[in-house]
Parts: sequence; structure tokens; C-alpha cells
Amino acid sequence: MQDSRSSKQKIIVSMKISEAESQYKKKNYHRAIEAYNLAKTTCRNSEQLTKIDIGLIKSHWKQKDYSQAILRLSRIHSKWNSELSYIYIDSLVALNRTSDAVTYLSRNPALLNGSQYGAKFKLFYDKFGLSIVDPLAKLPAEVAGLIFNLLDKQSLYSCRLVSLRWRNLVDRTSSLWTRMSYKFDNSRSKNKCNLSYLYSAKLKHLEFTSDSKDTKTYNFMLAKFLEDLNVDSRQILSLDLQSQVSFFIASDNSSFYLFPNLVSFSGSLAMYDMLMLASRNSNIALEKLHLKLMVTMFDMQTLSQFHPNTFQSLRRLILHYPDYNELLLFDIKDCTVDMQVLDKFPYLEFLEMKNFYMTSKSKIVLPKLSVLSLHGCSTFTDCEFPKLNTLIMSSCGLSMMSETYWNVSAPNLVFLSLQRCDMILTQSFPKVKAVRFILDGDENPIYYDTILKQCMRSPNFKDLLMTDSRLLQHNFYALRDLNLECFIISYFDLPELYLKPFISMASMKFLHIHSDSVSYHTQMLMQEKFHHNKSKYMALFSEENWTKLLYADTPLKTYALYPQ
Amino acid sequence: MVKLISSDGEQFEVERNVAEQSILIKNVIADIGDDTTEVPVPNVASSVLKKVLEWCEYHKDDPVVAEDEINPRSRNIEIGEWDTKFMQVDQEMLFEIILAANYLDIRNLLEIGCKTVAGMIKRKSPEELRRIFNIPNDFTPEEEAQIRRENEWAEDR
Repeated sequence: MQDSRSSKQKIIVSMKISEAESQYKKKNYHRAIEAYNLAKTTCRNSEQLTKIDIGLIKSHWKQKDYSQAILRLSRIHSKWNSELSYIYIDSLVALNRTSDAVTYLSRNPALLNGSQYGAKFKLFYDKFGLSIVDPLAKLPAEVAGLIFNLLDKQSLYSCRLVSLRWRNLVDRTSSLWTRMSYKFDNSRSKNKCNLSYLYSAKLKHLEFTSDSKDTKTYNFMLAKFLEDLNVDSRQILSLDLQSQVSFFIASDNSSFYLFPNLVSFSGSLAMYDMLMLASRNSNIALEKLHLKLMVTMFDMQTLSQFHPNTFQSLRRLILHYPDYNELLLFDIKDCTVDMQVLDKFPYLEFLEMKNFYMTSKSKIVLPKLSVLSLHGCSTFTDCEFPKLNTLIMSSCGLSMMSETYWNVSAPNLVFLSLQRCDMILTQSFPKVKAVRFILDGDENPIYYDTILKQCMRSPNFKDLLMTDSRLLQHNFYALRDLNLECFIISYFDLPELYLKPFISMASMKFLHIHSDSVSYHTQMLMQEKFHHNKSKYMALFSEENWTKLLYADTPLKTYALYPQ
Repeated sequence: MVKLISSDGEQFEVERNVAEQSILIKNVIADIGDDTTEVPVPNVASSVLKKVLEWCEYHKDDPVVAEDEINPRSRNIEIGEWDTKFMQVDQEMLFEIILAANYLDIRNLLEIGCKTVAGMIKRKSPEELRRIFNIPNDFTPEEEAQIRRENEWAEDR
């Protein structure tokens, strides 16, 4: 009974296949595909199924649906004959995958000889086989390394899968595997890194974070992670830990010695623990740990209790006091800092402070300070920074308790940037070259006006950015007599006569005005003037975000904002 | 003026400051000490040298980048509009320009070339990369599976 049903079904399928083949012969490939698909729904016989699959592949191929042909071919790989191989290669070529076709032929040399398509295959192979040269193979390894260094990690992992040569190039470029940023996830099973052979000897800089707030768990995870990676903790030079985790608490100081060759470290509470440890133990004078970066949230007074040698080598200090919400969170009431604590840092070259109210009884002198960046800080006693190159201030002097005047001596200042600052800098800057004035609307422009007048006395003054046309209006006659080389002004809402002297200024190399109201004639004048300049120096009336220009790469960028 | 002679014998006469974008040529001129000297460039064909000199002419007033500034600190700096157009050449020429920039030690051009290639690679699948650079997949299925296993750890981060 069953046999009879099976044989009946086989006959029906056979009829449907005949119908499909007939449509194929008539070149009605679409109908042939429909008929084959219909036959496939009822077919149980493997021989007939293969026949149907081949019919479908050929119909798709004839219909120029090459992707579908390749997809179906891959499902019956074991049943390929020379005709199907031909369809495969032809489809690859049609899809512009010549290299894959050549690879296939090189792996199946029998196809080049003997089969009815052998001559065609050989012709194709001779034509394209030799021309396929990996372009990266032409480059010296160091240049390929330069390219790989410009890629993100995901792209690098793609590159490893391209070919043997690419994988070797990527794996052998050591610089790619010296830095890792990793978030450990307790709930994930794949925390074990399979790339240990890449990182084992090369990893130097590690950023390690986790959801866990528990110090012991965190320490364990970090140690386990390094072990899995086969990384010796002594090779780690820079470590960035999760800010809320204490890492260095250990009764026997062993954790401190876990990374004996660190040159850079960050992580708030961990930093605090480390410094406390250093303060208690005069043997740990941080001689090896030349701190470059400190992001701290601890009482500044603690700093003053440290051993005098503790910070002898410190050159770069970043102190961020909590924002308002964090103040409440940590129940911190006093954000006053005695500036005298800076005497502990005689070699300081870079100082960034945020949200401090600073006091001091005597004058502060930082003989080597090169860059000073202050945000949300108020009031200063007299300061002397003989080597200061860059001074950046934002939201300074706004406190009710603040003074309006700040007596800061910086005879070598080159770059000055002020944003939302209500204070007057009483000293002049005889060597200043570039000034950025960013007004948000509520400040008193008179302060800026005074500072600008001081700056204009510098014979080096060449580069000016201002956000407020009023400053231009007040200083128009003085400014037009200068030899400015770079002038950027946003929110320009003055008559155009205020603009023209700067367009025709012989020394001008970079002029950027953000305005909707400048006439076509003036625009043309500017274009004509800067006709011979490079486009990158001539951002005329651009709609791009003008704030990018705060640190624009102007021809005058000879000063270093953040020396490394 | 300086006369540069390409590998196929073609001569290019350019201003000294144009030629001296190339540290190699600059050093050669400094060693010989003659303004009108002929400098052979045996590793660069005329078609490539012509293109390189076009770039040097346009950038003759640019500051020269120090060697340690090329990479990787500059990874976020965008390529200028002119340079983007300049680099719109066929792939073979692009790699020839990079090779020439490396040989002639023209750091800015080398950096732009590398960034252009990096831009072609970024966020592409291995299959797309093979197609773009016409590279055959020479991995065995086992090798490919092994690399995928290695990458898997990183890919699902």
C-alpha cells in the first residue's frame, strides 16, 4: 500500500520535473523555478531532489540571479560536476568575486584539464590568476603597520580573517596589541580571552572596568584576567581602574608591588589608597611610579601631609573636585583648598583643576608650570608662573566670595583662552600670540575688553577668536592696525565696514566669520583675497560648528596646548 | 630648480621647496649642495612621480610633520577636501603613491595615503575586504574557524 503511494508520488514529482525542464528549454526560467519549487514540496526521493536542486541552480544562473545560484550550489557541494563548477565560477566572476574564483580553481587543478570546460577555466585562470596580487603585500611591514594602527579593534579582527598574509601582518604588528580596554562582565561566559598569544608579551596599557563594586571581587577578576591573558603584571606600564574601586588596600602592601613598573595610573579611590600607603611608608616615595595623571576625589588637606619626597617627580596633576551632585553623595561640605599645597609639586608642568575655591596666605610660585587649566575655580592669591605657555580658564571667578582681580604673572604666556570668566587679569602678557574669548552672554564684556587691550600690546599678537561682536566694535581701530594672521569671529552682527579691513589685511592667513548677514559682494571679496590660499585656511561662512575652531589647526599653531 | 629623474627616465623640473617636501631629496640636495642638481628617483615611475609632485606643489607651504607625530596620535584628524580628491585614484596608483611617499620620506603624504587605505578597510567584513582588494581566501575551513573563535571573544564586547 505504502509502496504504491510512494511510487505514485514519484510519478507526480517526475511529471512536475518534466514540466519544469520543458519551461527551462523554452527559456521561461521564472516558470521553471516555480515548477521546480512545486516539485520540491512533494519530493521525498533523494535522486529526484538532486535533479530539482540542479535544475533550480541552472535556472537561477540563467536568470542572472547569481547569489541564489551560489547559495544553492553550496548546499549540494558533494554533488558538483564540471558543469556546476563552471556555473559556480561564472557566478563568482559575475558578482565581481574574481579572486574567490581563482582560489577555487587553484585548489581544484583537475578542473583545468580534461573537462569540457577545462579550456575555458584555463583561459580564465591564466588571465586573472597572475593579476591577483595582494596590494598590502607590496607595502613594507612598517607601512602596513601604520595603516593597521589607524583601525579600530573590530576592523582589525575583520582583517585577521581576510587571508593568511593579512592575519600574519596584523598579528605581527606589536604596537596594535600594547593597549587594551576591557570591561569584565560577571554574567558572561566568554570572559576568557582567546587572543592571549597576541597580548601575552605585548600588553603595556590596560584599562580594566567591571560592574562589580566589591574590591575583593574586582581584584580577583583583574588577577584572573591577567592570568588568562598570560600577562606578567610587571610588564604593565599604565593602568586605569574603575573609579569606585579601592585596589591598593592590602595590609602587607603586596597589591602595591603587583605593578612595580607603572608609570601612569588612574582610578579615584585606588589612587587615594595608594597615596595613603605612600604617606605611611617612607620607603615608598613613588620613585618608580612617575605619576602623570591623578583624578582624585579626596580631601586636599591630606595631600599636604605627605612626605616631601612623595611628589618630587610629578609633572602632571589633574585634580577634579566633585560636582554639586557628587558633593551631596559623598557628604563633602568644604571645597576650599589651600594653594600652598602646590609647593609639594616643584616639577609640575601641567595642572588642571576643577571646582575648587582656592586660598593661600602667600604667593604661589610654580617655576616649571607650562599649562594651567582651570574650570569652575574661583579666587586666587598672587601667582607667579615664569614658564607658563598656556592658560585656559572657564567658569572662573563666579563665586560670591570671589575676587574680581587676579594678579598672575606669566611673562612667557603664548596662548590664553577665557570662557565665562568674570575677572580681570591684572598683569599683561608681553609675549602672548593667540587669544580665545568665548562669551556666553551673561558675562561682563568689560573684563574681556580690558584683557584684550593688554594682549594687543604684545608684538607677537597674531591670532584672535572672539564670540562677541561687541569686543570687535570696542577695539576696531586698534585691531585693524595690527598684523593679525588669524581672526575668527562668531555671531558677527555688525555693519560690514567692520569686516573689510580684516579682509584686506595683508598679513591675514585664516579668516572665519560666522554670519548669515554678510553680503554676496563681501563674500566674493573674501574669496578673491584668499584665492591663492588653501581651502583649509579659508572656512568662509561655513555652517560647521564654529566651536571646532577653538583649537583649529591654524597656520599659527606653534604653541602646544597640551604638551605630552 | 631641481631636476628629478624617474625610474623610466622622464625628467621633472620643480622648485626646490616643492622637491624638499621629500626628506630624502632634501638630504640629497644638502649633501650635494647644488641648486640645479639632477636627482635620480630610481624607485618611482614617471606616472607616480608626476602625481607625487602634484601633491608636493600644492602642499609646498605646509609645515613638515615630525616623524613621531605620524601615528597614532593623528588618528582623528580628517583628510582635507583637496587631499580626498587627490587620493581618488585607482587602487594600484594609491598603493604606488604610498610606496613612493615612504621611499621619498614625505610624511604628510604617507599619512594621507595610509588614512585613505584605512578608510577603505574600516567597518568592512572579511568578504568585503577580499572583494575590495581582490584577495583570495587562502584559509582552510579549520583555520578560519579557529580565527573566528579567537575573534568571537572580542566581537561580542
